[in-house]
Amino acid sequence: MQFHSARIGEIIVARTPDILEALALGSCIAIFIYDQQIKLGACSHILLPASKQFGVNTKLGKYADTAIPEMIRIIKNKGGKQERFIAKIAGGARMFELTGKHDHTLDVGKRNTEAVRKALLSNNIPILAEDTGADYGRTVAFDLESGVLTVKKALQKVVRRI
Amino acid sequence: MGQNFDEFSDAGYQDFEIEAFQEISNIGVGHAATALSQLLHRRVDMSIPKVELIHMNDLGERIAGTLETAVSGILVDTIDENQHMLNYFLIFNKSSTKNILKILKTGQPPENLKEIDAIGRSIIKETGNILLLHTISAINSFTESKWFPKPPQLSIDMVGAMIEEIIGRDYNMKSKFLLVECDVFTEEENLKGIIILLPSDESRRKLMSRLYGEDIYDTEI
Repeated sequence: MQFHSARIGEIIVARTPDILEALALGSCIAIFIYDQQIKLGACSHILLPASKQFGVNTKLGKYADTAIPEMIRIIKNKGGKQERFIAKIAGGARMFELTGKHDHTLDVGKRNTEAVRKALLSNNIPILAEDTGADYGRTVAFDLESGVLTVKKALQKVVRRI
Repeated sequence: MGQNFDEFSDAGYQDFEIEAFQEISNIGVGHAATALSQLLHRRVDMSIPKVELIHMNDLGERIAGTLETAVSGILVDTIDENQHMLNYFLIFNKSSTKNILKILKTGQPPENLKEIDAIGRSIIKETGNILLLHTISAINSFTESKWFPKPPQLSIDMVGAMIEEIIGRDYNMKSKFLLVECDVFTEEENLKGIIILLPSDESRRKLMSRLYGEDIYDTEI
């Protein structure tokens, strides 16, 4: 068993019995797309909702709208079937309290969550579980054998399995 | 100064810019240490601040050992009359956070940073705010500029999670960050503060033209 860790903007793929993880998620989101039958999954650690304002895009894994199609392509290449895909997501927190008028553009976590949900929906991938929002950091690990996502809210020592 | 300037150039920072930031940090941190001394009512010594350029992927490890290490972070955004941002992010590690609470608050600070109560959080936030505001006012008067600070924002959590959010908020952010590290000592306690300077491109150019003259970018390149 091996741990594969996705850093910001990375897409990683692995097969059972390995574990996919993403450390210290703040407003970023870890997206896990999993093919239950062949027990193969991909994880991306996205930073921002949309890539369109950036012109030439070199890092597909950095944006919600480019990461998800790329993940689907990678899993299909390795033998996955899109109709079997399921997704679990975690992250999208708001680490700093926003004072004064609520400024939606600064709430990156919320925008990321919305963008990820939309992109998964448009690709017909059901979200089986999610742990998003709130104001704390998360570390997540996805077990490719069982398909269970473990969410650790590090400072609070709370572990949730979804 | 024995800095490795090759490392800096690929992030889009030029030698003279790094030198200027080193100087700006010296002045800013000096003022901050004076403010701290007044706040704590004790003699304070400080080390010469170190300026480093760190890639965003290595930032968490560099500051706190791992991305998941708990720290306190205070973020102060400043904005000038042309809406150009120059943001400051101050980090206290776990032992420094506890030392601040030990000095300014009665009772033992909690072992886990998440258990710090509302008063404790407020103390950390205001200490950070005072230090950053003195840094800001020193930089403002040194460069004859007016960057106005916004209210401080506090987070006590995993260092990686905070850095992510800061990177996420600013699309034009470079992939490398300027990090200013400074140790402040009192007789009993050691406080380590790390300030990360987050200038927008326009703010960086403005700072440089104030320090070197308006035509710096025409002649140097």
